[in-house]
Amino acid sequence: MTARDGEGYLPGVRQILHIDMDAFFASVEQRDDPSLRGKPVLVGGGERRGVVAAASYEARPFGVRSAMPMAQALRLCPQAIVVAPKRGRYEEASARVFAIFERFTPLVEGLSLDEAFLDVTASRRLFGDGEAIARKIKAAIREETQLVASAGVAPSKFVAKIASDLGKPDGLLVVREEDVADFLAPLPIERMWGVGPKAADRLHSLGHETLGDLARADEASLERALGSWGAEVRRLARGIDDREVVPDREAKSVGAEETYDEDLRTRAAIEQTLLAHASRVAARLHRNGLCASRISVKLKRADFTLQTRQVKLPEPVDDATSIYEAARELLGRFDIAGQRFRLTGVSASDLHPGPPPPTLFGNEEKARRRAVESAMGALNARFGEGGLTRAELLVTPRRSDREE
Amino acid sequence: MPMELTIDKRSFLKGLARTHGVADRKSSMPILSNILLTTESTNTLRLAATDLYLGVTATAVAQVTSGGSVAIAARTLFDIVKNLPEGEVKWSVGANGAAQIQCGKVKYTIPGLAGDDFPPLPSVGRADFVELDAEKVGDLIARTSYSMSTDDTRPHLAGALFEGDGKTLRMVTTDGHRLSKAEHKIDGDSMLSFSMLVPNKGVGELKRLIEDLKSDHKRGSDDDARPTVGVATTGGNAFFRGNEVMLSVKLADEQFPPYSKVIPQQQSKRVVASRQTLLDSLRRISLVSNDKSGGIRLSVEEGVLRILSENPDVGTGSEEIDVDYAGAPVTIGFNAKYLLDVLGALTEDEVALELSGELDPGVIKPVGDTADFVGVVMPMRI
Repeated sequence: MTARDGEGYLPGVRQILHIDMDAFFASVEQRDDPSLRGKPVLVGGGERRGVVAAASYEARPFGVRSAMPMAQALRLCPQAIVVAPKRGRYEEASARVFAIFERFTPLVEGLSLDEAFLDVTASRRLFGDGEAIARKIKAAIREETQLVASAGVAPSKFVAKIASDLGKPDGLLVVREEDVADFLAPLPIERMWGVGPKAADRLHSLGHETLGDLARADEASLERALGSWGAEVRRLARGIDDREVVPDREAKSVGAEETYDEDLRTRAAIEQTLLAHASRVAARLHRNGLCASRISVKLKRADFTLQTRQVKLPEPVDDATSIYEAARELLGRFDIAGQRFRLTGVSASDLHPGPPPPTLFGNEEKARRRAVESAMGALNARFGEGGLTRAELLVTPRRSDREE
Repeated sequence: MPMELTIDKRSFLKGLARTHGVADRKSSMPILSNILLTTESTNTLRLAATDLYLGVTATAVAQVTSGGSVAIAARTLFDIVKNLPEGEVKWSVGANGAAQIQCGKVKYTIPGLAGDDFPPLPSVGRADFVELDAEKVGDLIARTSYSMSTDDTRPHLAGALFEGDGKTLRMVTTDGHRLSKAEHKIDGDSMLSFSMLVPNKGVGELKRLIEDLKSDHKRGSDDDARPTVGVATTGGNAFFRGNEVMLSVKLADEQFPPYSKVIPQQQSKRVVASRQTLLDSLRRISLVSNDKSGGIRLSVEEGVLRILSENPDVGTGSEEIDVDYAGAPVTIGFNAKYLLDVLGALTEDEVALELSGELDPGVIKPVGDTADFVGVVMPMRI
């Protein structure tokens, strides 16, 4: 399936790379602690309530996946070594990896600490074709960070992401324009972004097993099954994806969102996801030296209806606490009673360069909390994320323990 | 209720000009887009408009033959009267509530609403008016309105703190990033103490009222006395009175931030510069500052202030100007607009820029003491 572009690049055909670090958090732990190497390692906190943030490749044959409850993971793989996450270490490794990306193209769109799209269409004359660039990037990452990445090379973001995923670990998969349809057709529908077990069940019940089935499916029936998302799914299954790689620095917004395997049913559960998203958004704002004046929250119900609410803040912010506070206030403007939600997201827009400008009447309470937050970050970076966390993240589950 | 009067076009237009701007055309209460016309006596017509926060009434001389009141669409009436030929206007309202306007050979009939449906304006009751020098109040507004917040979601900042303590009149505004405080000494000790937070729209109307007072005064220049504006507060409203106009403003029921705490008392560095030279230079160099942040850098050393802007997307620019400074070198970043606004609000030839650390607020004061003024500007990290 790999092939060279040769010298005569097809006009209008883009060359998109999706690069994804393999078992990133677990690999950083194994790199930093030789005693963990070759062993099943689970990164995550809070024995009972926590979830698996990352699982090393040694743990995966046991059926352990990331985002799985830690208790379940330990039942599947009792010999696994559980390590508390050290966010500072991962951020540092991530910064080095992104610096490598930037050497090859300014068009880098980070999806998270360990994953990014790169548009290298215009970089080929300097560095060779997409495959050559992917190879150089993988080699540089291995050389400079002792970590392993997988890469997908394709004419679109959608196909590149699937390709990097299929090649894991240590993969490099190139899909040429003319091969896109053949490449996608046999893949199971679960390979598609955002298709979780629920959506998959619905599609299976309509007789769709592969992306090829979706590509041939009747658009109206997909819309009945998935709502407005149906048409998009069909387009993507055909390999049609014009979305551009938007470099973080030029982004109009910085967001984080996640689709959950289990629908969220309570305000407390949704709030916890918003806090996690707020932290990721704050980290990305920091990384790009930005602050934001507008915060929005996105909720997708189990029936795929999507709702968003947004608020303009009087002063721009760049810290997780302020973003979370705005998000939690926005949550109050949704009608969530009796609803189930499959996806939540937080995004920051109306971006300005630099840290928020200082104000004459600094809110002392806010300044104090911000100091706590940065101290927490520093301590967690040194000692791991298990020991120090927000009281609200401890109290809520305990209270529900008693109710159970 | 029939209503009939004649009025000179010019005095009618003047009354309308002073009131129609307050009428609220976007309100969910349609009657607020009207002007209320009421006969007050056999020779006085009263015109009133309100948006429920601001109210303005003006009186005009008229020959009333039949008393009554009616509410008429403010914009339409103003435009019609503005375009009438000069001369006497005959005004009458029939039983159907429509107003007939006749001036020379021009005739209009425009629909009206019963005057009783118009919401009552706040009453000044028996509150005492204090007469203040209109020029001084106007000067306080002119020097401080640039730093007033326009964000109506923050009512504690979206207005001007207007205070009097018997000896001094004071106005303070801030949007959280900059602050200005202007003061005038006042003669006599008859003045009551007061402190009010006037919302920004009220400040705008007060400014118009004072401008009208000043221009009226210039026209009738045989009178030596300076024009005054009367001020009273009662029932959560402030009243400003001048000539035939009364402005009522619903005051913000908010706590203005403790401004005196954030005005630095002791700054270690004082740079004296020509206001106009500094203004021109800032304007030039800010052309290449970042659109959103407007950041420029000031580097000062003995005798020289260097103004510098670097923006990878646009370019770089710098200028050196001669200043009076003898301290240690210091570099500090500011939003150029914030500095330009202060300098633009002043009239003095020389200004002093007082600095401390690179993250401490900067202070701008006029050199010379015709008026007491302090402008505070937060720096930015550049």
